[in-house]
Amino acid sequence: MDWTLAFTNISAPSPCNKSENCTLTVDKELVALTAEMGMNNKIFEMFYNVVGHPPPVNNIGYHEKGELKDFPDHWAGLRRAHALFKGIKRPRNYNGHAEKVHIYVMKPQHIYKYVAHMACSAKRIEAPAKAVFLVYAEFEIENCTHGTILNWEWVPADAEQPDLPDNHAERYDERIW
Amino acid sequence: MEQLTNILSEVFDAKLSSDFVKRAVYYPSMDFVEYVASDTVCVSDRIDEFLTIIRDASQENVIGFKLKGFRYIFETQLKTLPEINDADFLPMVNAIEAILTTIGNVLLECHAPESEKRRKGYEQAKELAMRDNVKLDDFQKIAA
Repeated sequence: MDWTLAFTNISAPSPCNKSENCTLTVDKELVALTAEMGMNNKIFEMFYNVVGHPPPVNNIGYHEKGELKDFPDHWAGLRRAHALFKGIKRPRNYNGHAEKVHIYVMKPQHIYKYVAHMACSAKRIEAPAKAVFLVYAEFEIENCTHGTILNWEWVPADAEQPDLPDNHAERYDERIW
Repeated sequence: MEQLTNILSEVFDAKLSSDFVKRAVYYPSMDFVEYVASDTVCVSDRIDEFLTIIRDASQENVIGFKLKGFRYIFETQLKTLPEINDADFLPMVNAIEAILTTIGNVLLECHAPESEKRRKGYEQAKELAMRDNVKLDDFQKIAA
């Protein structure tokens, strides 16, 4: 697998047209800091929930061997985004670039958790209940063909609309699709 | 983890630490400081435009916090503090208190449920910052 290509051409629905694709690159500094901190679970989220590939660790699938029909699962990562917002309501970078940030919303069924296990260090578990997965991206040009992923995280789901983030109307400027 | 470690090195020039490092870190891409007490699946609960409380996957236990728009906080509230000058690190309690100075009147005067959540969120963040003596190293470069 060409991992450089995998991380510089992450396919996602385009902000301009949900039925078309754009490509995203992951911010290198973010990954470097996350790795430096030893945040294995966040790294696993990048591989599986963002890119759509199970973490490339030895014996991946070891803990799931009783669920062969479901493994390896082809989750598809960011391509499964079902909603997109734009503009986060807070000061960012001290000069108001928050309006450029796009927020992809997904609801993966699974995540891979880091486990200290001799056979395999990644175990697939159910995703956090009552939560959605967000990927933050910035697009520099108006046609939205290519962007950079700035961060990803789980957030509580809205009680009334459980496929969307809690308080999305207060958090973001607008919903794109 | 060797294959994953190699991929991170080759693609991102990143070095995966063999142990979890428990300290506050500034992330320039989205301008926030984050502290997480353990390497686990996290759920980030927005308190307001400045603070997010981080909980474990059950969403019951507070394990961290995120101070957002940190350059704004630093430039407007922190960099003139006498204890910051020539300091090697910035205690996160100072940063949380600086935000409270900004929004404090709103929290004190309003008793709506949202304000109760904000009050509790800041208490939890401050308590964690004090309990774990959370500090931000190399904070001077934030203003650079």
